[in-house]
Amino acid sequence: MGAFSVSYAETAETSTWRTIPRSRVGVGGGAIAPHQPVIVNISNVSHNNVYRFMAPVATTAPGIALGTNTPGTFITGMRRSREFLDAFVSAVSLATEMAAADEADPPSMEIWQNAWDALAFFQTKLPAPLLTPLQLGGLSAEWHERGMNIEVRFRGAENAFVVIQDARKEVPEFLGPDPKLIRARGALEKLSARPF
Amino acid sequence: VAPAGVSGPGNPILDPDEELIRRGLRGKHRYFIDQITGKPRLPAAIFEPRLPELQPRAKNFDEYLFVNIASSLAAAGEASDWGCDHSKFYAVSLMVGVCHALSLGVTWEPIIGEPAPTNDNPHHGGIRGVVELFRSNIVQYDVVITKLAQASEVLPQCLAYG
Repeated sequence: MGAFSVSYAETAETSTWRTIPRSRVGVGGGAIAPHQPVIVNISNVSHNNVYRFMAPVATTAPGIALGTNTPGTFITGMRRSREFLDAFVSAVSLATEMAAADEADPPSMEIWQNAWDALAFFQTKLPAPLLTPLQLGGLSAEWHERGMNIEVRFRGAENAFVVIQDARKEVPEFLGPDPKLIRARGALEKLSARPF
Repeated sequence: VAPAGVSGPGNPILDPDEELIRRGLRGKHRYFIDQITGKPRLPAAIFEPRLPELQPRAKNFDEYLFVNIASSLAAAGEASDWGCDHSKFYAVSLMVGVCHALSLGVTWEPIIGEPAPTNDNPHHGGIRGVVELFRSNIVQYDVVITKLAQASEVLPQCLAYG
């Protein structure tokens, strides 16, 4: 994977990254659709205005639908989605087994479906939650990472108790009912924006 | 032998520095690092009681949250993870003072002369008030089990097991 270059004879600019029309890039970018622009790092510019790319794989502009910007982030999102699904499947299996063993009341699939509907939006954005069956057939979904404790206890239709704590104090602490999950969603958005 | 400062079975434990040990099923619970305290703990669900109105077919119900009393274990020469099969359970520790701050009572409830599967447990105790909250005020109940969980910590022996 050697470096390659394209001629791009415009005046020097100060920013490191440039969006260049795909038609103006003559080399590389194998899987890029022709109509998409290419974002390139131009930090290594020679005196004759030849842009030297550090690697022959260019990066497409962010897709609107999935919010991904590289094949790597797309794959990460898909893996997270699978782990999200696996977590729900494992948890409902566990809850069913515990109910059969008289160790817990049976899971309410209405509550669990509500939980899935509420959290599925985050399936490509966040690692799988820690899922724990609750009394009353409910479900607890928790994330404890990147400085945040977020717990969402689904106890019924529009009946959720939410815990939000942020060691960085960027998100206000909250402990109480959040039936529309407004606070929970806000905190989960913040968490998804934090780098790993 | 009763824990220090406790006059007899069923009586309250008043020492806020007394340590309580509660078990959580490994299959149901996973430990994590609390992002505020930096300590390993379990989800708040570990402090949910088993109730007859929810599990009418079940054999075992909780009048209160079951715990072991650390000073009683120590006096008998037992480790704090006594009776905890690490392949099946985690154990967390919690101070009595945390319970008192949440308006919960703690009592010594020795189990003597019980056949299997209950068996004897002279170190047995109870956290009282959580069951009542579950039935009367589910929001406050959630607040209380959250704070109990946040104040608890997984025993190092459990972490060493995996």
